[in-house]
Amino acid sequence: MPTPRALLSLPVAAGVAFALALAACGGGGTTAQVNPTTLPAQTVTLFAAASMSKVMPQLITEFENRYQGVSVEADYEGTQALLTKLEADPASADVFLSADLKHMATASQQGLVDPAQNLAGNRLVVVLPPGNPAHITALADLARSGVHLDLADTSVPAGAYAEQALHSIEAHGDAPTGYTAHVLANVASRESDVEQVVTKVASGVVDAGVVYATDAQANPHLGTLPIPAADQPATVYPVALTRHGATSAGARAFLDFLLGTTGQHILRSAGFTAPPPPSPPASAAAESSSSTP
Amino acid sequence: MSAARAHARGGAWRLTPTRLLIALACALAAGFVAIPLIVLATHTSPSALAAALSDPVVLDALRVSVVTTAVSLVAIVLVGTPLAVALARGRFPGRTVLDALVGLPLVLPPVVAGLALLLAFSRSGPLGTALQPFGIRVPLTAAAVVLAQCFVAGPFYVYAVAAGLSGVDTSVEEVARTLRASPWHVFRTVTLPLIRPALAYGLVLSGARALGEFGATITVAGNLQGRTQTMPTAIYIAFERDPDGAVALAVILAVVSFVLLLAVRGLRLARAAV
Repeated sequence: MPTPRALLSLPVAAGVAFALALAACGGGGTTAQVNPTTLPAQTVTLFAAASMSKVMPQLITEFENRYQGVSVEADYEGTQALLTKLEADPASADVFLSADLKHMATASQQGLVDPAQNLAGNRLVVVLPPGNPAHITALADLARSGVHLDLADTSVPAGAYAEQALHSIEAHGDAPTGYTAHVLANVASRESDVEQVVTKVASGVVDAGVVYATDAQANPHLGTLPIPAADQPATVYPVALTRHGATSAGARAFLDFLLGTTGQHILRSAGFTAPPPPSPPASAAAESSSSTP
Repeated sequence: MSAARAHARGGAWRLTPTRLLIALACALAAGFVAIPLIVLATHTSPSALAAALSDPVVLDALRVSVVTTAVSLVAIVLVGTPLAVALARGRFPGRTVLDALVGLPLVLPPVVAGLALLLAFSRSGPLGTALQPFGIRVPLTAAAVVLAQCFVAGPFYVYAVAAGLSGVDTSVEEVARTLRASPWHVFRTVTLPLIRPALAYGLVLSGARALGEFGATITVAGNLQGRTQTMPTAIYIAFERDPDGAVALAVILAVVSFVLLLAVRGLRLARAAV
């Protein structure tokens, strides 16, 4: 026999579910067709590279519309800062989205994450403040004396990628010898994540910065200068469940959603490129080569 | 407990509820400050400290911090001393407003101070525009570090000196003046020695604050090793990639600050004892 309280709460629960269903249907145009899956109420914590901070809210909203009961809380910082947090407290996140393979490999070596999958790629671009006060029209101008440049710190993936790109520009003959050294001498500040580079350039404190193409796309008032495809570093965003998140159905659903058609479509619309094909794990390659005589 | 009871029996000292509350508050406050700092210290080791002190990044940060703080202190003394005299002695319209304005950086979040400085000195800001013909660009330079430190740490010096001046018995100065000493001579030979403890206190307080300045500095001066990266900015950047190195740096900064404050207290006690 149900208690009076249970009797009372039944219609309330039904009402809430109905309201939730209505809210889900009334959302964005794409959500109307999808029947939401209901999971036990839970929060999934995502550690995502700062350059994902513009597109991720859209991905989260779309995911939360599809999976009732799951809410995703995201922390956007430089990948190096996220890894440090994860090392200090492995249970602080369920999903780790790194802006490079190096930090993911470190997390993996420490047993902090499950095997990672490549979520997306990106390109680098030079951004210029509105009005381009330093009249930068070519990559060579970045080496001109008196130009003030902002880069992410070398410990930040975007900062390391930027230096790789500069070295490639010089090595491929797209700029004269000594180019990288001259450009680096013009660096006026180093930021702890790439979004702060965007902010500094947008405010006009510096004359130029090297950021991701997705940052430029999200800030259309900034001028851009492309970096040739041949000089682009291999920018990869690997994503993985953390040891803590591996037991969470919500975290797994979120990871699958990111890697699935809709997730990939949203990422592509925001300017992210297709992820490079996954490189076979070293152990698997070794096994296959040893099995063939 | 036996000691407390012995005191109570002696009648000289009794543990009353008021005293218990005061003692608890003192213990709470001391623990609140000391425990996290002690924990910080236990997270490092002599070898980590030695490693930090031979790291070029740390040495650069120390040098930038010491040089900019020294320059800031000179500027603060040159501008702050007359300002303190005006605030403590002056009778002029707007003195109260000036007094409040001087103290504003004490209550503003430093990052707000940094943002205000950045906007004022940016290319399109009024001060930035005024300096442009001279080819002077302030944001993201060591000059910006000094500006941020002066802005945030200056009030500590001004208020300390103004308080010292208010405490001076003006009749002593009157006597000197009746002996036909010039105002500057009176200030140098009579007033200055009287407010020396306040001067020292103000200097150390604002020096320690300048040394520790972070929010305004990173906003207006940015972060570049050897040029604008100070100890606090280096700690912030290092913490994200090398927490152990950051802790060693933090311990160095905390110890330096504590020694500075202790030195001033010692100075005051020594003076009081004379």
